[in-house]
Amino acid sequence: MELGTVISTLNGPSTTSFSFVVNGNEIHKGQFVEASIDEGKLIGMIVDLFKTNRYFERADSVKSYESTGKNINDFFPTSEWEYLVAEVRPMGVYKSNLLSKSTYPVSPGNKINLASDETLKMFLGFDLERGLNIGKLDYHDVPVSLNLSKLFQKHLAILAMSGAGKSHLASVLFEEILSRTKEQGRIASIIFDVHGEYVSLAQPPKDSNKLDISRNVNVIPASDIKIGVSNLSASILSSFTNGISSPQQRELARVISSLQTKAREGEGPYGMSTLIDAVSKDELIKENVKSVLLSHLYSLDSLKLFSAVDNPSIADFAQPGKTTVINLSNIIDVRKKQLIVAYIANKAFNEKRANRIPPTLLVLEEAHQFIPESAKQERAVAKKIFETIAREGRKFGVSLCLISQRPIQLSTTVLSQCNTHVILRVTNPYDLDHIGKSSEGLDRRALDMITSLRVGEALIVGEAVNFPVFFKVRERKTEEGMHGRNLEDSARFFEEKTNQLEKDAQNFM
Amino acid sequence: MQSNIDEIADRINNTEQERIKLADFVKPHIKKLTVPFEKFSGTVAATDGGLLAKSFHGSDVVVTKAVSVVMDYLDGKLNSTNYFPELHTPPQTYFSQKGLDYSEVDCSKSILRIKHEIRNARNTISKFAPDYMLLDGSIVPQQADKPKPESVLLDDYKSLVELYSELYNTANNYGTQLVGIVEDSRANRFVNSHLPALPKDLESIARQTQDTHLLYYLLEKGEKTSGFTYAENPSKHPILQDFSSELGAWPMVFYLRTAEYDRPLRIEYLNPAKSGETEQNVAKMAYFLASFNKEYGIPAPIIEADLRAALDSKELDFICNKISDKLTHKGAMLELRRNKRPFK
Repeated sequence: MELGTVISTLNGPSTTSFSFVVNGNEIHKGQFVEASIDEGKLIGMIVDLFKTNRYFERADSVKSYESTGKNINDFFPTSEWEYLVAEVRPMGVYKSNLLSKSTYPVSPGNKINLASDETLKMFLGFDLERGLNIGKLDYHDVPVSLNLSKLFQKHLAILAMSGAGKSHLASVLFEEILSRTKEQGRIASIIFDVHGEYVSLAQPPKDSNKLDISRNVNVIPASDIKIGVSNLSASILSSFTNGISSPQQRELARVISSLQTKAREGEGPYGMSTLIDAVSKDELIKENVKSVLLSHLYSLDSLKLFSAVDNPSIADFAQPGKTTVINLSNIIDVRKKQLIVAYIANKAFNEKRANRIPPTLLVLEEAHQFIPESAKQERAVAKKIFETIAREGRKFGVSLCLISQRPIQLSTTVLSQCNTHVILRVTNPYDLDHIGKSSEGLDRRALDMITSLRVGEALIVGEAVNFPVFFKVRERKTEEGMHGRNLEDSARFFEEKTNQLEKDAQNFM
Repeated sequence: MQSNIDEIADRINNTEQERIKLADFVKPHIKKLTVPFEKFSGTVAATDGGLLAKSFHGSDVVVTKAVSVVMDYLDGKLNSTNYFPELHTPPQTYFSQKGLDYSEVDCSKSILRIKHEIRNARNTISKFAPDYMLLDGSIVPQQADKPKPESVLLDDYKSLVELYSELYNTANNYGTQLVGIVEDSRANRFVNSHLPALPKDLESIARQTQDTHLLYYLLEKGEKTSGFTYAENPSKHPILQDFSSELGAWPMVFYLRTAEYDRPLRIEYLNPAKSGETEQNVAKMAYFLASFNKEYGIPAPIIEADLRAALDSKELDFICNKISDKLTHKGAMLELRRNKRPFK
């Protein structure tokens, strides 16, 4: 479909930008266009649209006519002077299935067409056969089907303000991951679910038309999780607390070593109380060191998170084609949440290194809370392991999917290691700036477009796609959980439930 | 410099004071007519032309464009718009190697532009038969466009007069009222012929005053002068004498103030029957279509035609470059020295 003709402007056509006057067909910002040039087929994206009309160029003249109480259109054929001009950023040249950079500008007068769907599929690097179908390109009938390896191997970050559709997108991703066949390659995934948003994935849908992935989803309430003390080294234990000094850690290591020897010799796994008892009875530890160590261990014990062995064992739930939701929503203690997340991430990394579990995706909701750019150690227990996974996870088959509404508070080290970013609506200028600095391939115009995205619209940039792409996230195939309901529905549901309880009580009386 | 500026400002102030005195004196003797403000219904065409020219060593390239807009108003509102020859009219290019002297070059260019414009107006009338055809400027050729009797341009001028005559006849045959909207008139026939006997102290200022200048102090918005003939004696008028005696008597003039803060417009029109109704209809049409801007009282179709006829200097450069590219001998298109000075 022909859209218009390239015009000559002060700055172009150039290799980085050109404009064309639109001939009347429907056109939108973000649409892909193509032009035939000597080098092949040039593909570009419309980055801006603007209208001109000579009758409305001068404020004084417009005011003068309009101040008579008449409409200027009553006298002049103003609509005949309205021109729509589209500004295009050339993205590359496509010829014989080869993609190259745009090194020569289009000519003024060149005709511009809407990019064909077939061209776009190849040009944007989608994996239509085995990819994860997470949505549709804006204004084109092209599914955004992303190659699993490209998307996750070098980590993914989903960034957006609250309510922009992060959890919806993550749920869509899980639908795709859990629907994969053995032949397509299945990974294990673990979701650290801070708000209990993904619990509904484990429930069979009430609507039979909805996709049922519940048999592949396992929910573990955080309160059921126990960390096996006998598996913990002194350094891990030290990382769980704030302020254990090197001499204290040395003494603790000695005590733990002694306990582990006994365990191997037949006494079996030991819990926190055994460790506390061993420290308090150790005669080699100076009293002042001992009292500090004990105070840290009592503090950890008070979390009621520790036992002799891990429960459940990560090898039990990290299975191919399965997702485990660690439901942290009932835990208020920030430190406890940090410890659970850090321990499971650490465990998954080590188990995968030892090749005892399949390639695993760790999904961290509210990632900025766990891996903040700057925070005290006790509030950033998990930061170290996530930084390690971000750097080295690719080599061992552990991937990250970080979800955050405050990118600026997220560790730059980790964010910069996420080679694919999916950005939904963000309006905070600091967050936008941070995204701009940490996402390669994003220019100012694309950043500006992020602020005007509607709920469910997103930009994907990085490893998973050849070029930044705006798209619409598809509808969920699974049933929405409570969190997906709007305020009105939630309020109605609450009242209906309360009324039913009252009725039941009256019937009982 | 400051004293020089002060002196000039004083002189202007004094002259204007004199003019106001002149206006006050003639006011009781001038017949002013009120034009009713009525919603206009009808078809109004307007034609305008654009010209760009570039001189080379031994040749001239002239680019002209003429566009007509045909606007149909219904009950005071624009109903539809057409363009002639088309919405985006390409310019016409002329190349001259006549070796004209400098004084004739301007005259030659002007004749080219006007011919293009008048031909377009005539053809627009033939195609659309509008109620009114507005020209941007006079409906009579100007004296500056008339070459000297010995000039090689004389035949061009004669053909121009023929074109005007055709335009008058075509308008008359199609029932189209031809109207000239003169934006910045310097005419002074009204001051010279329609004022009462003046006292000695006002005679000098009257000689320095153009019609629109004086009428700025006399006419209020919506007021016009009576119509009067373009020339007292067409057979002795330097231009109208070149027309047939019949056609030379058709052009008439009145002045109309259409905007609160703008000078009165000089409006020329053909009125073979010297009909008061024709004059009134022209005035009502012009007043309605020009009255919606307090500072710029020009009828809307003229504004639209002006915009459409405008030429961009880039178009001329583009055409000149295209011609030059095809030349094996560049002598005829060498840039003038004044345009290629090494330092500016």
